[in-house]
Amino acid sequence: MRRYGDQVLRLAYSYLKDVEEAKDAAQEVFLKVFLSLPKFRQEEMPYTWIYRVTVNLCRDRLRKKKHFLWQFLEDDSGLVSSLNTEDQALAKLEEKEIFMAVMSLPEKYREVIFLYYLYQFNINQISAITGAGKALVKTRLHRARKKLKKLLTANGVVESA
Amino acid sequence: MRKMDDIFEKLPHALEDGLKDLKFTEEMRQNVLSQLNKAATKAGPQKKKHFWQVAVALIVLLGCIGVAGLWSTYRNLAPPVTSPNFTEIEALDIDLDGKEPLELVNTWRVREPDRTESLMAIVWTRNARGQLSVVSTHPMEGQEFLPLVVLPAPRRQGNLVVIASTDGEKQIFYSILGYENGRVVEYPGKYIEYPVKKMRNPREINLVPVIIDHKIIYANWEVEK
Repeated sequence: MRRYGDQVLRLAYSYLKDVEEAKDAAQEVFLKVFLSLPKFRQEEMPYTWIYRVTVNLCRDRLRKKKHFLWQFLEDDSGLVSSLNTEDQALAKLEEKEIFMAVMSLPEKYREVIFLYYLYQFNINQISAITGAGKALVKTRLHRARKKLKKLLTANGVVESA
Repeated sequence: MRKMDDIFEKLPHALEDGLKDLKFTEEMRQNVLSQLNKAATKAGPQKKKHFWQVAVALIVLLGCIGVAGLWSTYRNLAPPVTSPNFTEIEALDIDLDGKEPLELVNTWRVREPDRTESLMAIVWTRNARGQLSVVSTHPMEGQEFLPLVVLPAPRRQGNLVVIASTDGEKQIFYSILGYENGRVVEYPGKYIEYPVKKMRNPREINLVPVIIDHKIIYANWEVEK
Protein backbone atom coordinates (compact mmCIF):
# COMPACT_ATOMS: atom_id res chain seq x y z
CA MET A 1 0.00 0.00 0.00
CA ARG A 2 2.83 2.36 0.80
CA ARG A 3 4.38 1.71 -2.59
CA TYR A 4 1.30 1.81 -4.78
CA GLY A 5 -1.19 3.69 -2.59
CA ASP A 6 -0.85 7.13 -4.18
CA GLN A 7 -0.75 5.75 -7.71
CA VAL A 8 -3.86 3.66 -7.18
CA LEU A 9 -5.69 6.57 -5.60
CA ARG A 10 -4.76 8.90 -8.48
CA LEU A 11 -5.72 6.36 -11.08
CA ALA A 12 -9.04 5.87 -9.33
CA TYR A 13 -9.57 9.60 -9.32
CA SER A 14 -8.80 9.78 -13.04
CA TYR A 15 -11.81 7.54 -13.58
CA LEU A 16 -14.18 8.63 -10.88
CA LYS A 17 -13.41 12.35 -10.78
CA ASP A 18 -14.45 12.47 -7.16
CA VAL A 19 -11.89 12.60 -4.38
CA GLU A 20 -13.94 10.84 -1.74
CA GLU A 21 -15.09 8.15 -4.09
CA ALA A 22 -11.55 7.68 -5.35
CA LYS A 23 -10.34 7.26 -1.77
CA ASP A 24 -13.03 4.75 -1.13
CA ALA A 25 -12.24 2.91 -4.35
CA ALA A 26 -8.50 2.84 -3.65
CA GLN A 27 -9.10 1.25 -0.28
CA GLU A 28 -11.40 -1.29 -1.87
CA VAL A 29 -8.72 -2.04 -4.44
CA PHE A 30 -6.20 -2.95 -1.75
CA LEU A 31 -8.77 -4.95 0.11
CA LYS A 32 -9.49 -6.90 -3.06
CA VAL A 33 -5.83 -7.29 -3.86
CA PHE A 34 -5.01 -8.66 -0.41
CA LEU A 35 -7.99 -10.96 -0.34
CA SER A 36 -7.22 -12.36 -3.76
CA LEU A 37 -3.49 -12.70 -3.26
CA PRO A 38 -3.76 -16.51 -3.41
CA LYS A 39 -5.13 -16.16 -6.95
CA PHE A 40 -2.30 -13.91 -8.06
CA ARG A 41 -0.46 -15.37 -11.02
CA GLN A 42 3.26 -15.27 -10.39
CA GLU A 43 4.12 -14.69 -14.03
CA GLU A 44 2.33 -11.35 -13.96
CA MET A 45 3.92 -8.16 -12.64
CA PRO A 46 2.30 -7.13 -9.35
CA TYR A 47 1.77 -3.53 -10.45
CA THR A 48 -0.01 -4.65 -13.65
CA TRP A 49 -2.34 -6.73 -11.53
CA ILE A 50 -2.97 -3.93 -9.00
CA TYR A 51 -3.67 -1.39 -11.72
CA ARG A 52 -5.95 -3.81 -13.53
CA VAL A 53 -7.92 -4.36 -10.32
CA THR A 54 -8.15 -0.57 -9.99
CA VAL A 55 -9.31 -0.10 -13.57
CA ASN A 56 -11.95 -2.82 -13.29
CA LEU A 57 -13.23 -1.60 -9.95
CA CYS A 58 -13.50 1.99 -11.16
CA ARG A 59 -15.26 0.89 -14.33
CA ASP A 60 -17.71 -1.06 -12.21
CA ARG A 61 -18.36 1.94 -10.05
CA LEU A 62 -18.86 4.17 -13.07
CA ARG A 63 -21.27 1.67 -14.61
CA LYS A 64 -23.32 1.54 -11.44
CA LYS A 65 -23.24 5.29 -11.16
CA LYS A 66 -24.36 5.75 -14.75
CA HIS A 67 -27.15 3.26 -14.22
CA PHE A 68 -28.18 5.05 -11.05
CA LEU A 69 -28.09 8.47 -12.68
CA TRP A 70 -29.93 7.22 -15.72
CA GLN A 71 -32.73 6.21 -13.43
CA PHE A 72 -33.02 9.82 -12.36
CA LEU A 73 -32.74 11.08 -15.92
CA GLU A 74 -29.34 12.56 -15.35
CA ASP A 75 -26.01 11.95 -16.94
CA ASP A 76 -22.51 12.23 -15.59
CA SER A 77 -22.00 15.72 -16.91
CA GLY A 78 -23.01 16.90 -13.47
CA LEU A 79 -19.96 15.22 -12.06
CA VAL A 80 -17.73 16.92 -14.55
CA SER A 81 -19.27 20.28 -13.90
CA SER A 82 -18.96 19.81 -10.15
CA LEU A 83 -15.33 18.97 -10.64
CA ASN A 84 -14.99 21.95 -12.88
CA THR A 85 -16.49 24.31 -10.39
CA GLU A 86 -14.44 22.74 -7.63
CA ASP A 87 -11.22 23.13 -9.48
CA GLN A 88 -11.95 26.19 -11.56
CA ALA A 89 -10.14 28.44 -9.17
CA LEU A 90 -6.98 26.49 -9.73
CA ALA A 91 -7.44 26.09 -13.46
CA LYS A 92 -6.02 29.49 -14.28
CA LEU A 93 -2.58 28.07 -14.54
CA GLU A 94 -1.66 26.36 -17.76
CA GLU A 95 -0.99 23.00 -16.17
CA LYS A 96 -4.32 23.11 -14.53
CA GLU A 97 -5.88 23.81 -17.90
CA ILE A 98 -4.16 20.79 -19.34
CA PHE A 99 -5.19 18.67 -16.39
CA MET A 100 -8.77 19.84 -16.67
CA ALA A 101 -8.76 19.16 -20.36
CA VAL A 102 -7.58 15.60 -19.76
CA MET A 103 -10.16 15.13 -17.05
CA SER A 104 -12.89 16.24 -19.38
CA LEU A 105 -11.99 13.62 -21.96
CA PRO A 106 -14.25 10.59 -22.24
CA GLU A 107 -13.26 7.76 -19.94
CA LYS A 108 -11.63 5.55 -22.56
CA TYR A 109 -9.34 8.39 -23.73
CA ARG A 110 -8.66 9.66 -20.24
CA GLU A 111 -7.64 6.16 -19.29
CA VAL A 112 -4.94 5.84 -21.92
CA ILE A 113 -3.65 9.34 -21.35
CA PHE A 114 -3.18 8.70 -17.65
CA LEU A 115 -1.61 5.30 -18.10
CA TYR A 116 0.68 6.47 -20.87
CA TYR A 117 1.70 9.91 -19.67
CA LEU A 118 1.38 9.77 -15.92
CA TYR A 119 2.28 6.14 -15.25
CA GLN A 120 4.59 5.89 -18.24
CA PHE A 121 3.28 2.50 -19.27
CA ASN A 122 3.96 1.27 -22.78
CA ILE A 123 1.29 0.03 -25.16
CA ASN A 124 1.74 -3.59 -24.09
CA GLN A 125 1.38 -2.76 -20.44
CA ILE A 126 -1.68 -0.59 -21.04
CA SER A 127 -3.16 -3.42 -23.04
CA ALA A 128 -2.56 -5.83 -20.14
CA ILE A 129 -4.02 -3.46 -17.58
CA THR A 130 -7.10 -2.36 -19.48
CA GLY A 131 -7.80 -5.60 -21.30
CA ALA A 132 -7.98 -3.75 -24.61
CA GLY A 133 -5.98 -4.98 -27.59
CA LYS A 134 -2.73 -3.24 -28.47
CA ALA A 135 -4.15 -1.82 -31.69
CA LEU A 136 -7.12 -0.45 -29.81
CA VAL A 137 -4.86 1.13 -27.22
CA LYS A 138 -2.85 2.79 -29.99
CA THR A 139 -5.99 4.07 -31.67
CA ARG A 140 -7.38 5.39 -28.42
CA LEU A 141 -4.13 7.10 -27.58
CA HIS A 142 -4.06 8.73 -30.98
CA ARG A 143 -7.66 9.90 -30.70
CA ALA A 144 -7.13 11.05 -27.12
CA ARG A 145 -4.27 13.27 -28.26
CA LYS A 146 -6.38 14.69 -31.03
CA LYS A 147 -9.27 15.41 -28.70
CA LEU A 148 -6.96 16.94 -26.15
CA LYS A 149 -5.47 19.16 -28.78
CA LYS A 150 -8.90 20.23 -29.87
CA LEU A 151 -9.92 21.08 -26.33
CA LEU A 152 -6.76 22.96 -25.52
CA THR A 153 -6.95 24.83 -28.79
CA ALA A 154 -10.49 25.85 -27.98
CA ASN A 155 -9.34 27.01 -24.55
CA GLY A 156 -6.57 29.03 -26.12
CA VAL A 157 -3.79 27.03 -24.48
CA VAL A 158 -2.51 25.65 -27.74
CA GLU A 159 -2.08 27.59 -30.90
CA SER A 160 -4.20 26.35 -33.75
CA ALA A 161 -2.28 24.74 -36.60
CA MET B 1 0.45 29.94 -26.81
CA ARG B 2 2.24 26.66 -27.03
CA LYS B 3 2.53 23.97 -29.61
CA MET B 4 0.93 20.61 -28.94
CA ASP B 5 4.29 18.83 -28.77
CA ASP B 6 5.23 21.02 -25.84
CA ILE B 7 1.95 20.16 -24.21
CA PHE B 8 2.61 16.44 -24.55
CA GLU B 9 6.01 16.95 -22.99
CA LYS B 10 4.44 18.84 -20.17
CA LEU B 11 1.54 16.42 -19.82
CA PRO B 12 3.07 13.99 -17.25
CA HIS B 13 4.00 16.85 -14.99
CA ALA B 14 0.63 18.49 -15.49
CA LEU B 15 -1.19 15.31 -14.55
CA GLU B 16 1.05 14.69 -11.59
CA ASP B 17 0.65 18.19 -10.43
CA GLY B 18 -3.11 18.01 -10.81
CA LEU B 19 -3.19 14.94 -8.60
CA LYS B 20 -0.43 15.81 -6.17
CA ASP B 21 -2.82 16.43 -3.32
CA LEU B 22 -4.25 12.97 -3.59
CA LYS B 23 -2.39 10.90 -1.05
CA PHE B 24 -3.10 7.45 0.16
CA THR B 25 -2.97 8.38 3.82
CA GLU B 26 -2.01 6.32 6.83
CA GLU B 27 -5.63 6.49 7.92
CA MET B 28 -6.73 4.85 4.67
CA ARG B 29 -4.04 2.23 5.08
CA GLN B 30 -5.19 1.48 8.59
CA ASN B 31 -8.75 1.33 7.37
CA VAL B 32 -7.81 -1.29 4.77
CA LEU B 33 -5.87 -3.29 7.37
CA SER B 34 -8.78 -3.10 9.76
CA GLN B 35 -11.17 -4.35 7.09
CA LEU B 36 -8.73 -7.10 6.24
CA ASN B 37 -8.65 -8.13 9.88
CA LYS B 38 -12.42 -8.14 9.99
CA ALA B 39 -12.56 -10.18 6.83
CA ALA B 40 -9.98 -12.60 8.21
CA THR B 41 -11.89 -12.95 11.50
CA LYS B 42 -15.10 -13.48 9.60
CA ALA B 43 -13.56 -15.86 7.12
CA GLY B 44 -11.68 -17.85 9.76
CA PRO B 45 -14.61 -19.65 11.41
CA GLN B 46 -16.37 -19.93 8.08
CA LYS B 47 -13.39 -21.65 6.63
CA LYS B 48 -13.24 -23.84 9.70
CA LYS B 49 -16.94 -24.58 9.38
CA HIS B 50 -16.47 -25.19 5.70
CA PHE B 51 -13.57 -27.49 6.45
CA TRP B 52 -15.63 -29.46 8.93
CA GLN B 53 -18.56 -29.61 6.56
CA VAL B 54 -16.28 -30.97 3.88
CA ALA B 55 -14.62 -33.34 6.33
CA VAL B 56 -17.93 -34.69 7.61
CA ALA B 57 -19.28 -35.02 4.08
CA LEU B 58 -16.11 -36.81 3.06
CA ILE B 59 -16.32 -39.20 6.01
CA VAL B 60 -19.99 -39.92 5.28
CA LEU B 61 -19.18 -40.42 1.61
CA LEU B 62 -16.26 -42.72 2.39
CA GLY B 63 -18.46 -44.56 4.87
CA CYS B 64 -21.15 -45.05 2.24
CA ILE B 65 -18.57 -46.20 -0.29
CA GLY B 66 -17.09 -48.53 2.31
CA VAL B 67 -20.46 -49.99 3.25
CA ALA B 68 -21.40 -50.31 -0.41
CA GLY B 69 -18.05 -51.93 -1.11
CA LEU B 70 -18.38 -54.32 1.79
CA TRP B 71 -21.93 -55.14 0.81
CA SER B 72 -20.87 -55.68 -2.77
CA THR B 73 -17.99 -57.85 -1.62
CA TYR B 74 -20.29 -59.72 0.70
CA ARG B 75 -22.80 -60.27 -2.05
CA ASN B 76 -20.42 -61.08 -4.84
CA LEU B 77 -17.25 -62.44 -3.43
CA ALA B 78 -17.78 -63.54 0.08
CA PRO B 79 -20.98 -65.41 0.63
CA PRO B 80 -19.37 -67.37 3.45
CA VAL B 81 -20.09 -64.58 5.93
CA THR B 82 -22.22 -65.47 8.86
CA SER B 83 -25.27 -63.56 9.87
CA PRO B 84 -27.49 -64.03 12.89
CA ASN B 85 -29.77 -66.42 11.00
CA PHE B 86 -27.29 -68.10 8.68
CA THR B 87 -24.17 -69.82 9.89
CA GLU B 88 -21.83 -71.21 7.35
CA ILE B 89 -20.59 -74.72 8.05
CA GLU B 90 -18.27 -75.45 5.15
CA ALA B 91 -17.32 -74.09 1.75
CA LEU B 92 -15.75 -76.03 -1.06
CA ASP B 93 -14.47 -74.94 -4.44
CA ILE B 94 -15.41 -77.55 -6.96
CA ASP B 95 -15.36 -77.99 -10.68
CA LEU B 96 -18.93 -79.02 -11.43
CA ASP B 97 -19.07 -78.19 -15.12
CA GLY B 98 -15.51 -79.09 -16.11
CA LYS B 99 -14.68 -75.47 -16.96
CA GLU B 100 -12.85 -72.65 -15.23
CA PRO B 101 -13.57 -70.83 -13.03
CA LEU B 102 -14.50 -73.20 -10.24
CA GLU B 103 -17.92 -73.26 -8.69
CA LEU B 104 -18.46 -72.98 -4.98
CA VAL B 105 -20.64 -75.13 -2.77
CA ASN B 106 -21.22 -74.17 0.83
CA THR B 107 -23.40 -75.50 3.60
CA TRP B 108 -25.39 -73.42 6.05
CA ARG B 109 -27.20 -73.86 9.30
CA VAL B 110 -30.32 -71.74 9.18
CA ARG B 111 -31.93 -70.60 12.37
CA GLU B 112 -35.55 -69.77 11.82
CA PRO B 113 -37.31 -67.03 13.76
CA ASP B 114 -39.04 -69.68 15.89
CA ARG B 115 -35.56 -70.93 16.82
CA THR B 116 -35.92 -74.17 14.89
CA GLU B 117 -32.90 -75.00 12.79
CA SER B 118 -32.58 -76.36 9.31
CA LEU B 119 -29.76 -77.12 6.91
CA MET B 120 -29.19 -75.77 3.44
CA ALA B 121 -26.53 -76.08 0.78
CA ILE B 122 -25.98 -73.40 -1.84
CA VAL B 123 -24.27 -73.79 -5.19
CA TRP B 124 -22.56 -70.69 -6.53
CA THR B 125 -20.96 -70.01 -9.84
CA ARG B 126 -18.29 -67.46 -10.61
CA ASN B 127 -18.06 -65.20 -13.60
CA ALA B 128 -14.79 -64.22 -15.25
CA ARG B 129 -14.24 -61.49 -12.66
CA GLY B 130 -14.70 -63.92 -9.78
CA GLN B 131 -18.09 -62.56 -8.78
CA LEU B 132 -20.39 -65.19 -7.34
CA SER B 133 -24.01 -65.82 -8.17
CA VAL B 134 -26.34 -68.34 -6.64
CA VAL B 135 -27.17 -71.20 -8.98
CA SER B 136 -29.30 -73.30 -6.70
CA THR B 137 -30.21 -73.85 -3.06
CA HIS B 138 -30.68 -77.29 -1.53
CA PRO B 139 -32.51 -77.68 1.78
CA MET B 140 -31.28 -80.76 3.61
CA GLU B 141 -32.88 -82.95 6.20
CA GLY B 142 -31.16 -83.80 9.46
CA GLN B 143 -29.53 -81.77 12.15
CA GLU B 144 -25.88 -81.61 11.15
CA PHE B 145 -23.91 -81.53 7.97
CA LEU B 146 -21.24 -84.05 7.27
CA PRO B 147 -18.19 -82.79 5.41
CA LEU B 148 -18.65 -82.21 1.71
CA VAL B 149 -17.27 -84.93 -0.54
CA VAL B 150 -16.08 -84.50 -4.12
CA LEU B 151 -16.53 -87.39 -6.51
CA PRO B 152 -14.81 -87.52 -9.85
CA ALA B 153 -17.53 -88.23 -12.36
CA PRO B 154 -16.68 -91.02 -14.77
CA ARG B 155 -17.24 -90.51 -18.49
CA ARG B 156 -18.10 -86.83 -18.11
CA GLN B 157 -16.50 -83.48 -17.57
CA GLY B 158 -16.50 -81.98 -14.11
CA ASN B 159 -17.11 -83.53 -10.72
CA LEU B 160 -19.96 -84.43 -8.47
CA VAL B 161 -20.31 -83.21 -4.93
CA VAL B 162 -21.97 -85.15 -2.17
CA ILE B 163 -23.72 -83.04 0.40
CA ALA B 164 -24.56 -85.19 3.37
CA SER B 165 -26.27 -84.58 6.67
CA THR B 166 -27.29 -86.70 9.58
CA ASP B 167 -30.02 -86.79 12.16
CA GLY B 168 -27.37 -87.61 14.72
CA GLU B 169 -28.64 -91.15 15.13
CA LYS B 170 -28.88 -93.59 12.25
CA GLN B 171 -29.81 -91.70 9.18
CA ILE B 172 -27.67 -89.98 6.64
CA PHE B 173 -29.33 -87.76 4.10
CA TYR B 174 -27.46 -86.89 1.00
CA SER B 175 -27.70 -85.06 -2.25
CA ILE B 176 -25.35 -85.62 -5.10
CA LEU B 177 -24.98 -82.47 -7.16
CA GLY B 178 -23.73 -82.58 -10.70
CA TYR B 179 -23.91 -80.66 -13.92
CA GLU B 180 -25.59 -81.73 -17.12
CA ASN B 181 -26.22 -79.73 -20.26
CA GLY B 182 -25.75 -76.34 -18.62
CA ARG B 183 -27.89 -77.19 -15.61
CA VAL B 184 -27.29 -78.21 -12.02
CA VAL B 185 -28.67 -81.63 -11.40
CA GLU B 186 -29.40 -82.97 -7.96
CA TYR B 187 -29.77 -86.61 -7.03
CA PRO B 188 -31.24 -86.64 -3.53
CA GLY B 189 -31.43 -89.78 -1.39
CA LYS B 190 -31.31 -91.30 2.03
CA TYR B 191 -28.91 -93.87 3.34
CA ILE B 192 -29.57 -95.85 6.43
CA GLU B 193 -26.83 -98.19 7.41
CA TYR B 194 -25.05 -97.89 10.70
CA PRO B 195 -24.64 -95.51 13.58
CA VAL B 196 -23.47 -92.15 12.43
CA LYS B 197 -21.12 -91.85 15.36
CA LYS B 198 -18.74 -94.22 13.66
CA MET B 199 -18.40 -91.91 10.65
CA ARG B 200 -15.40 -90.00 11.88
CA ASN B 201 -13.98 -89.53 8.46
CA PRO B 202 -16.82 -89.50 6.02
CA ARG B 203 -14.62 -88.51 3.08
CA GLU B 204 -13.44 -92.09 3.02
CA ILE B 205 -16.92 -93.55 2.96
CA ASN B 206 -18.01 -94.56 -0.43
CA LEU B 207 -21.64 -93.66 -0.92
CA VAL B 208 -21.59 -94.77 -4.50
CA PRO B 209 -23.25 -96.76 -5.92
CA VAL B 210 -26.48 -95.48 -4.43
CA ILE B 211 -30.00 -95.93 -5.49
CA ILE B 212 -31.10 -92.80 -7.21
CA ASP B 213 -34.81 -92.55 -6.69
CA HIS B 214 -35.30 -89.26 -8.47
CA LYS B 215 -33.47 -86.45 -10.16
CA ILE B 216 -33.99 -82.69 -9.81
CA ILE B 217 -32.88 -80.40 -12.60
CA TYR B 218 -32.33 -76.79 -11.79
CA ALA B 219 -32.70 -73.79 -14.00
CA ASN B 220 -30.21 -72.93 -16.70
CA TRP B 221 -26.81 -71.78 -15.62
CA GLU B 222 -27.20 -68.17 -16.53
CA VAL B 223 -23.98 -66.80 -15.26
CA GLU B 224 -21.69 -65.19 -17.79
CA LYS B 225 -18.42 -67.07 -17.77
